[in-house]
Order: sequence, then structure tokens, then C-alpha cells
Amino acid sequence: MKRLSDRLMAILFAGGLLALMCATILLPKNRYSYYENRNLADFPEISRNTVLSGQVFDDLETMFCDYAAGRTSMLKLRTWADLNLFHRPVVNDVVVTEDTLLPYRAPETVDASAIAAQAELVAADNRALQDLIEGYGGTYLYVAVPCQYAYYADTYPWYLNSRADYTAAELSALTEAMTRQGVNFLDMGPVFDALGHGEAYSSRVDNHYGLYGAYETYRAAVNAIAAAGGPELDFPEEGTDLTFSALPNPYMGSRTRKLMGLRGNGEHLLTAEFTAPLPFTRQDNGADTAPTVYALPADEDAPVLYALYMGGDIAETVLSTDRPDRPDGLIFGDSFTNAVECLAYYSFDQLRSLDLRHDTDMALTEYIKLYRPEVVICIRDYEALLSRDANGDLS
Amino acid sequence: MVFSSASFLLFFLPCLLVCYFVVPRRMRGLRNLILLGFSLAFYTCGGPKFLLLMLLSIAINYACGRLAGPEHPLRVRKAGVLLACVLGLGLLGWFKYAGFFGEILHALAPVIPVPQVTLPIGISFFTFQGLSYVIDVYRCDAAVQKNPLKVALYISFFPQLVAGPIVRYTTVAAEIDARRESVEEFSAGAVRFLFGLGKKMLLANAVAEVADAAFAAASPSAAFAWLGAVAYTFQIYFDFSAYSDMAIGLGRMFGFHFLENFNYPYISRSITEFWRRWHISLSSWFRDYVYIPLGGSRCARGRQIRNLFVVWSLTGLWHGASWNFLAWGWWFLLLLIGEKFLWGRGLERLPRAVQHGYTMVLVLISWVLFRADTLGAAAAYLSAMFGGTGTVWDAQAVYYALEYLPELLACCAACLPVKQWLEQALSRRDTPVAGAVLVWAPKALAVALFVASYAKLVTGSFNPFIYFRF
Repeated sequence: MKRLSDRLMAILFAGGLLALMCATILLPKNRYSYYENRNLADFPEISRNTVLSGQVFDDLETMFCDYAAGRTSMLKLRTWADLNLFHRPVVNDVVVTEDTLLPYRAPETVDASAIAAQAELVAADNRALQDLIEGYGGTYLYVAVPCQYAYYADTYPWYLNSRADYTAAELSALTEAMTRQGVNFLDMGPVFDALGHGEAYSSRVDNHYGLYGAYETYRAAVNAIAAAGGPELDFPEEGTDLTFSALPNPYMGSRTRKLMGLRGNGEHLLTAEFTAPLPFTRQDNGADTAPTVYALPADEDAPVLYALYMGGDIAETVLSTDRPDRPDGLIFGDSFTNAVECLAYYSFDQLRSLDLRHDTDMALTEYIKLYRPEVVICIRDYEALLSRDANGDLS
Repeated sequence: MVFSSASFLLFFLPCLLVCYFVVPRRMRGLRNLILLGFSLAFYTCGGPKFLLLMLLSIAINYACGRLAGPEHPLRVRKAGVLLACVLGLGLLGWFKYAGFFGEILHALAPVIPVPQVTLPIGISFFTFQGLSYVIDVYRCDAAVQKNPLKVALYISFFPQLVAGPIVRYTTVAAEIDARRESVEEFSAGAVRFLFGLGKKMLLANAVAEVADAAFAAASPSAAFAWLGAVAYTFQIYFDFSAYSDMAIGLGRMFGFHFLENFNYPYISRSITEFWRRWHISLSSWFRDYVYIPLGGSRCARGRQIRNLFVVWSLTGLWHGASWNFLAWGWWFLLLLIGEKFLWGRGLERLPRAVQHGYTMVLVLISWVLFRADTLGAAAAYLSAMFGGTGTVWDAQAVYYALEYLPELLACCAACLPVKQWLEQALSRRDTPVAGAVLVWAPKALAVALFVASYAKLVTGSFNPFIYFRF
């Protein structure tokens, strides 16, 4: 028996390593890792310098790990074990609670004075932008929306960082600075609270809100624009002007995706349909595309991402409804704008959207001067409020 | 390259196994040549520019070994040893200590520049191996090796090249020329290797996360500081002993038998016992080549203390060129002198649990000295452990304890000689089932550990949402 076991072990070990080597070399390679949402490593650059410094061997190691046989299955196995065997509070940077998947944030020290100083700069930027827009008769509105960690801050275990202190300091400083500068400012946090802080307004498995959250944001923005002296925008009321319906597909929220789809599959995304047909044309980055605001999956079983809304993040999108009696609008910001855009073209003749994280031909102010939209809305989530880069770069 | 890497497991080792075992056993020279070639390639992957340095070290030890052989007059033999020491330690001194001593001199005289020298991988190990060969030849404990390729294979043999254990020439001299590879040896080596891989990938790497976080914390609570110190205590043991396990296992696959380097050090009941169980190849090297030649314990108390001082200063510096490592060595010097001359007998009379607690607390403190970046940082960390930051516990301590609880518990169990207890218990039963468990269980566990380690290894590059985070 000992001899048999030794032989088996030797064959398993040597044969197993050889099989893994062959499989790693020979099996077809996918350069994109769906669950990690990233491209896998490239073949390293081989040069005298990279060889002599040993860099090429480090890069090769990264590449071997990325393309190792069975890597995705191993990722699932490890994630499954962490979730179900070891019951870790944080798995793949996701805080796993009973019914919510939240982002893990390392502990941080809140520097109130630095936050206040940054809020002043952001408010001044917005004031300058508002002046530009009001200069040609337009209306500007800055909308702050709670991202997932802020919306579900009280769901975090007490020993993990929910950023509640940071969020409170940030909102207080920015609200004060915006008010002092006279910027039209809308914080959706209190609005959602007034609506009962329900689950409908933010996803439990993704950083973004769902369509109901976007709908209430849109409603509050329409009211705020009117209150600021801007145009009275048409708003579609649920039941009479539009109906929501849930997709049967499982929602692969960003946290669900990080957990390899092994947890958090109960949520479903909504779409909305206007009661009266509203034909429109669509251009993405200057090119005509299909006139739809939902990137629907091929079948009912395919998982659906937040990119359902507007097909994800695109540098410039123009939705034209050919209703010259309505104003033109511009919405800019990060992905939180996407779900709002799916509804908001109802109010405009032409609705433009910009995502300045992507390459655009011109700066924001040049773009606004060129098209002079009557309504300009900036939507930023709580995590990005004090950022002056990308969609926070208002120059 | 390290054993716990995809490059090693998925390419280097399978290629070596094929190349080595495809050659008939009778062609020993060719098999040795293959091992040498792969060993040099292994070292090249870690830092190609230092390959020449290792080849130089091999040449020095080969030439000095020839000079130290018994066929030469005594003065030539002494010159051979002296030359090996001066050149070998000179290289080690330059590459490992030039920066440290340069900083000391720079502090005294700022005009003296501090040399910027990169530390070659494994230089401490291959220097000590080479020296032991020359000294053993001089002492006539080993025969002169006239084939430079065999000296090269001894010094550069990849399993023990970069992280030990320090293999004496006498241990493997006969096996370089005549060894017997077999399925039984290969299987035992594979099991040992996989247990080492599991220790490294599943335990050491996990608790390292806890230790890194605690030692990086600006003001850790007492609980977090203790948790970090305990985690580092586990990390250093499972990291180092795992490497030794893998080295011993790999050696065995190719018919070499290295001596054990660890023997459950954390069950020790005194610091003296701890050092009989920890990094055995290093402590026995210093004992045989430094302590005993200086007079060892068979001399007056003052000289004994001097000898211990020399050995522990060198032991500290061997681990790294900084005041921390010197302080770490002197910490053990104090404790060993204390046990030898002051409280050793009293300690033996205490309950075993107290002896064990005494040893572990002192060892744990030593690892804080070892892990901290500077002596000041070590003092601050030790202060935090004893309430110096004013907080007893914090959220981070709770998070890391909960997140890594499975690994911390597994570490506690794996520190104990559970395997030996189980083997003894099963052997006593003498039933067919017990026999089957004895034969199959280690292999089944080794395979399971491999699957889990492979999962950890290839998912180590798990790096989600680099750009589009959401």
C-alpha cells in the first residue's frame, strides 16, 4: 500500500505540474477578466535593461499568474471559501453583510480643515461656471447624490470604516461653501431621507442608485431649476406619463461582480417606458447610434450591469427629440448621470451629456460656450464631491 | 524566483523534472550538470547582474578549497582558509554592510559618502556555505573536491540557494557523486514540498497582512499591537520554515538529504531551547565555526560571555545590516547569559505553562525588534503593546482578528507537533485502518494544500476594477 501511495503521489505531483504547465501554455487565452473588469497583463518588454534589472522576470510572474490554467475557477473557489467557509467580513474588498455588499474602505483620519479648504475651491469653481451659464441666460444646478457607502453607512459593522465622519464633514463644508457662493445646490441625501430612505433609491450590490433613485433625482432637479428661476421643465409622472418595469435578468452589481457572482444576485434593474411614444435620435462621440437608452442583454438569463443605462460611460452623447419648443440641456458628471439621462431627455429638445473622464475635444467651458444649453446640471456622488479632476475640472 | 511563484511551479520545476529524469540514472554527471544549469538559471531570475558575483564566490571557494587540502603544507592550507574568509566575507561585507557602516562613518564625518550598494539575493547563505566547505576541508572533515562543477553545484544548488537552510558540504558531498533517486524519495519530497508551499501561501502570507497593518499603524491600540506582534511571530516562522520545508522536499526529490532547520521552536520552554529548535543550520554554523574555535563554554565565565557576545553580534548582523538586528542579537545574548548564569535553574522549577509563557513573550518581543524599521520604531511599538498609546483596543484590532481568524487559529495548531502526535497515536493502534490513514492522509492533505495554495497563488494578482472601479 505504501508503494502504491508513493507512486500515485509521484505521478500526481509531477503529472499535475506538467499538466498545469501545458494547459497554461496551450489553452486559448482571454485577455480580459470579466469579474475583475480589467485587461490581463501583457507579455513583458524584453530589453537589456529589463533583463539585467530583473524587471522582466517580475513582469513574467505577473503574466503567468494572470494566465495560469484554471485561474477564474480558482478565483471562484477562493471567493466561495472566503464567503461560505471562513465567513470573512471583507471578501475581495467587499464588506459582506447579511443583505448588503458594500465597499471596503481603509481607516482614515478626517481632516476637517483640509475638507473645508477644498470645499471652498470646489464652490468657487462652481460659482465661476454658474456665472458663465447665467451670462447667456442659462441655469446651472449642482446635484450631490449619495453613493452606496454613504447611503448604507449604518449597515457597516461598527469596526469598519463607513466614512460617516468624512461624509458629514464634507457635506457640511460643501453646503456651507456653495450657499455662501450662491451656487444652485441640491443635496439628494435629505430628499431620499424625506422619501423614507428606501432601498429603491440605492442599490445594495452596486455603487450607484437604481432607476427610482435617478427618477427622484431628476424630479428634485426639475423643481430646483424652476426654483432657481430657470425654465419649467416637463416631468413625466409615474403611472400617467411613464411606467417602470423590472428586468428578469440577474443584476451583476459591481460588488456582486467582485464576488464572482456568488453573492447578491437578488436585485433586478428597472427600465422605464413613456406612455406616449417619444422618438429621438442618438449620437455617441459624434457618430449616429441606435436610438435607445437601454443596453438590453441578449436573453433573460444573461446578467445585466449598471451599464444597462445609456450603455455605460461615454465621453459625449446627444439625444435629440426634435421638439424645438423645449429647452436644450447638458448633464455632466460620472456614471450617476447615466440613469438620469435615460429619463431626462423627456424634458428637452436636445439633451447632451458629457463624461470628462474620457477624452473630449474641448474643455467644459468651451463646450458650454459653443452650445449654450439653457439648463446645465452637474451630478456628482458623495465620494467625488471634493474632487477637482475629470468631472470636477470645471475649467 | 521563489518556490511559491507561478514561474517556478508552472515552468521551472516541471521543465527541470522532465530534463532531469529523462536522463538515465547512470549518467550522474549529466544529471548534476542539469541541476547546475537550472540552479544558475534560478539565480539569474532573481537578479541576473549578480550571477557573476556568485560565480566569483564559487571560484574563490573552489580555489581556496584546493589550497586548504591536506596535500599542501600547513601554512598554505591556512592561507587557503584565510583567503576564503577574507575574500568571501569581504564580498559579503561590501554588499551587505557597506551601506550600514558607511552611514555610521558618515554620521561621524559627514564628508565620507554613504555607498549605495544593492544586496545580492542569497549572498549570506552561499557565502556561509562556501566558507564551511573550505574550513571543513582544512579540518580534514571533508575531502577536497577537485571538480569545480561539483563545488558549483554544492554552492548554487537552487533549493537552498536563496533562503537556506545552510547546507554543510559534508552533508551532501557523498550525494553529489552517488545518490539514489527513487519513487519513495520523490513522493516524500513532494509531500514535504507541498506542506511547505501550504505553510507559505495559506498561513505566512495571510498573517503577514495583519502584521504589516499593525506595524504600519501610526498609533495602534495595545490589542492591535499585540495582534500584530503575534501575527509577525507566526509569519516569520511559517515563512522561513516553509522555505526550509520546500528546500528539503525539493532536495529529496533529487536524492539529496538536507538536515532539518526547524523543530517546532514555539513549543520551547526557554530561550536556550528555542535556539536549539530555531534556524538550526545557522546556530550550528556559528557554534562550530565561531563559538567553539573561540573557546566555547570550556573557559572562564568572562571569556564565555565574550564568546557569546561575538556570536550573537554576528548572528544579529548576519540577519541584516542595521542597529535593529544588532539589538535583536544582543537581546538574545542577554537572555541566554541570564539563563546560563542567573535564572536558568529557577526557570526549570516553574510550571511548564509559565516556562512556555516566559519564552514566548520574550521571543515575541525579539520579533518586534526584528520587524520594526528602526530602533525608535521598535521602542514605539513595544510601548504601544504595553498601553503607551493610551488605547487598549480599537476597531482595526477587531477587524483584523475577525478577517484572519481562520489563519490565526491554523497557525496556533500548526506551531504544535500535531503531526507527530497523530502519527504516534495511529502507530499505537496497529489496525489496517490506522495504517491506511498513516500512509494516505499526509498525501491527501498535501494534494489539498496544493489546490488551496495554487488558488491563492494564481489569484494573488486579483486586482479588480483598476480604472472603472464601479
